[in-house]
Amino acid sequence: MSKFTKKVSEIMGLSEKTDPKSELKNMMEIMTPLMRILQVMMIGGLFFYAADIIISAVQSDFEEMYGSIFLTIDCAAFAVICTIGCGIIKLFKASETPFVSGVPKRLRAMAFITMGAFLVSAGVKLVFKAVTGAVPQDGYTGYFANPYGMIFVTLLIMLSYIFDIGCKLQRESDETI
Amino acid sequence: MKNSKKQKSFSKVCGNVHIFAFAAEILYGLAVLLVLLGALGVPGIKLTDMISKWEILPEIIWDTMLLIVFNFMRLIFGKLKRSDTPFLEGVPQKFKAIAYTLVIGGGAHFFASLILYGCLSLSVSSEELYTAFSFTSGMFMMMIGAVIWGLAYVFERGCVLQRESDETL
Repeated sequence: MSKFTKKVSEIMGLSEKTDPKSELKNMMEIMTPLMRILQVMMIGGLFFYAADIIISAVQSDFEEMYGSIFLTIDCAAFAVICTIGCGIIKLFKASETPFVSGVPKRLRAMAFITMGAFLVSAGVKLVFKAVTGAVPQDGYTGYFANPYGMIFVTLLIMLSYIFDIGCKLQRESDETI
Repeated sequence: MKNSKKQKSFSKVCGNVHIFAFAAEILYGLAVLLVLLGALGVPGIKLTDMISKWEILPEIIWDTMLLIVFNFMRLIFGKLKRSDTPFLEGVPQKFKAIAYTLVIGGGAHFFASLILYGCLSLSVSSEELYTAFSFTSGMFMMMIGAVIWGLAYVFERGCVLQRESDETL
């Protein structure tokens, strides 16, 4: 068996060595560069669209500015979420178990940032209409401006609760040993 | 006190998700049935806005994938709403099944769309094709599948700890 197929079967849990610990670590090895790339992309996007807001404000092109504001909010929220995700992956890699005490807190922070981005997007929508009076009909209204994000928030809060229980069990197990 | 309150709201949310998954399963079952009947040319069922008959293939893959996912979700949350702990035997395997379905289904949807787009672009204008096919949704589902894959391992570890805790008591 070649090295590649061995690695793939190990990740998929098809090989004989089915140790959840090493499998999670393998997963994290793949996730780390992906998360880093996403983070860098989002931070880059944040600066790009923030510059676009200033430029379109100077030119008083409100249609362009409307889309750019939402894209900036999206990029900022995603950048923070990716940074927290990197932190979680780091914690997973450093410890033997996924139930580390910092994880539930970080998951909850992710949920609140998603909710915050939703509220800010909705707020900007209202304020922009009131201030400029001109809102493009089919303009981009932001990734976080739709209520589907609330499903994501609920899932994250549920997950943080599950991790809370896991951490408690891990502590118990450590104390018994 | 605080924990029991959290526990109650957790099982409430699980109950709601269970009902939602059940309803979604029925809807997607109906969708698959209707699309299949339409594709077979049953009189009375007409598929509108189709460029080609083959355009139906990604749609069937997508609907079947979601049907399977919602079926497993219903099973998982039906179990979770009745128990004190989320780490139950059988739950990680179902999470893994969801992850496999999402990764394979998402990939199949993506490649089916890609191949059909390539074949149809010879005869149809690209503007029409852009509205008919979506490539990002398949990739997005694959990413979600990868995340759930990781979650399955977390649950597996939790089950081991839960078993240990139960044995100690």
